[in-house]
Amino acid sequence: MVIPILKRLGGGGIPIIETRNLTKYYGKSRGIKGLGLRVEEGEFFGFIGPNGAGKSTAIRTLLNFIYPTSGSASIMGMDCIADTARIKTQLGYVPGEVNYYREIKVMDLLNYAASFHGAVDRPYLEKLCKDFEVEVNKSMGSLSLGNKKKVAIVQAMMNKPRLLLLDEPANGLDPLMQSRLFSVLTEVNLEGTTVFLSSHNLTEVQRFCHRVAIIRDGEIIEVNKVDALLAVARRRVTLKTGDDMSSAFRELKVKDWEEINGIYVFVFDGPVDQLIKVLARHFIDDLRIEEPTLEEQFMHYYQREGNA
Amino acid sequence: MNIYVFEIKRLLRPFLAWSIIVGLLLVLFMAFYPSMTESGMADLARDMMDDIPPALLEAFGMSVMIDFADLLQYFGYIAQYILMAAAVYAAILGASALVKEEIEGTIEFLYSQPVSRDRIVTMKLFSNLTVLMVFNIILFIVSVILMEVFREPGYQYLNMTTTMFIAMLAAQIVFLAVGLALSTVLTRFSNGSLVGLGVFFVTYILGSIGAINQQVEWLKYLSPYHYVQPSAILAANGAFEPEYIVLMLLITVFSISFAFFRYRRKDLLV
Repeated sequence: MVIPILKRLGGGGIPIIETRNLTKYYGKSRGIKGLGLRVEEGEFFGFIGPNGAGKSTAIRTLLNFIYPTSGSASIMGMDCIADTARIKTQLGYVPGEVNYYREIKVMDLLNYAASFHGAVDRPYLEKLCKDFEVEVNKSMGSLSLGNKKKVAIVQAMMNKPRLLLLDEPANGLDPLMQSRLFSVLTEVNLEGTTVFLSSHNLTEVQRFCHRVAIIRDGEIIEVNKVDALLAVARRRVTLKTGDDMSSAFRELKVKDWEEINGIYVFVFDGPVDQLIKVLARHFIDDLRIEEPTLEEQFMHYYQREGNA
Repeated sequence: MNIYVFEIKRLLRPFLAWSIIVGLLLVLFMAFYPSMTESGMADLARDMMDDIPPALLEAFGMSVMIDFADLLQYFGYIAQYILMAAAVYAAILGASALVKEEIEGTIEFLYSQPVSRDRIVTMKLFSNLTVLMVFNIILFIVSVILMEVFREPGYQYLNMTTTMFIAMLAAQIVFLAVGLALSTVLTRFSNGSLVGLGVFFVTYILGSIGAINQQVEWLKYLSPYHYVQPSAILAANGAFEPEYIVLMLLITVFSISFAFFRYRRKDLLV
């Protein structure tokens, strides 16, 4: 996978996002704990975890919507609190839940957003509106959730930011729009924009991100390349048989499996050789051994370390 | 500048509603003025006032004897009701100014733009102040037109009317500033309009108690409404009490400083 690290704007060496022991408590309840994150310029970075894990809290702290209880963060080498306005001249943000001024038209909103940034590339804006099928003459209040999200995406991208922060960007979009979103994101990423997105949908992260951070209960439990996460010696096994497999599973130490009409699905993390030899004692109609999806990998993290 | 213009556009619709309603109220009240002069109604009103205990009169802002047949005095009397409405509007403007963005979730848009929090407060303050001033100018023009219609030839009113309006605007600015300060401590679960109403009526009631009861006379200092009672200003021939001017300045400066200070550190949650 090619990661275009651009040295423009003096970005070489300085991570585009860096958090140091970033912690946020809401009163006594946990937001994020001791977050240490480093994202390089040019990356397509996934931030994954279940709802309530602290993804939005982390993003809102980066944007100075909320103040950290302790720790610090910087974007493009600038402090997230003191330099937030300067950071935002080169940053686009798509919130998880899009709320806009209901009474105004989409075009007015986009013009308002443009007015914060000086000159806007009009043809590019029109292209984005076309790509995302945004109807600029509708009033914001009349838009569905998905359509509001599309406006938010266009608005975040229209200034060609150096960094895009997207909080659950695919939420509310239909599958066609989701795939269009990711192809546009891939496009701008190849041109040098750093994309940082949070998600609980692992398929999209798996397909598009270079690296992911997995967050659970406010803490990062793993940061790795997607390839590396998938390369762990874990296999997803699907087999079809009329035999009772419980003794075989005991021998293979497989604890969780699903069975529907003689089709068994399970994740196996032992040697493949052992798997084949044990299975060979049974009559197997069909067999498929695959890399686990990130989702299965992800569940594994939660089961291994989960205590909730 | 863009935030300022955008805010003014957003405030336009409620502003028109307030201007029309309060403007009409003014016309309606003034429409009774001719009957005061013609049929001895003023004498009747005076007789009635004589029967009412002075404390109660004071509570209704009639501490000074009002000659209802005199155009300015009549106007001064009705202006206190106009002031009430305007003060409520000012408090609502202030209390909604900042927290509205959090209630409606639009702060996620606004603060993801390259703006500082100080700039947001500044622009909100100026846009709301502008709207409030235009509102007062409209009421002033309506008042002048009404006075022109009803006055006897040669009757002088312009200076006193202007003085009353300046005083009333000053009190409204105090309410706007206090509302703005509160706006920085309110959460997204609150209602700016209710808080604005509350600010006015709580201070008004306290001030009224202070006006009735000598023992707690100091309560009147808690009510900016009572600082600028139009009939009192009229009775004093346009003179303000300096302590009220100082108080208004202090409260306004303190509230606005607090708003800037507090908003800088506020967690903007949606």
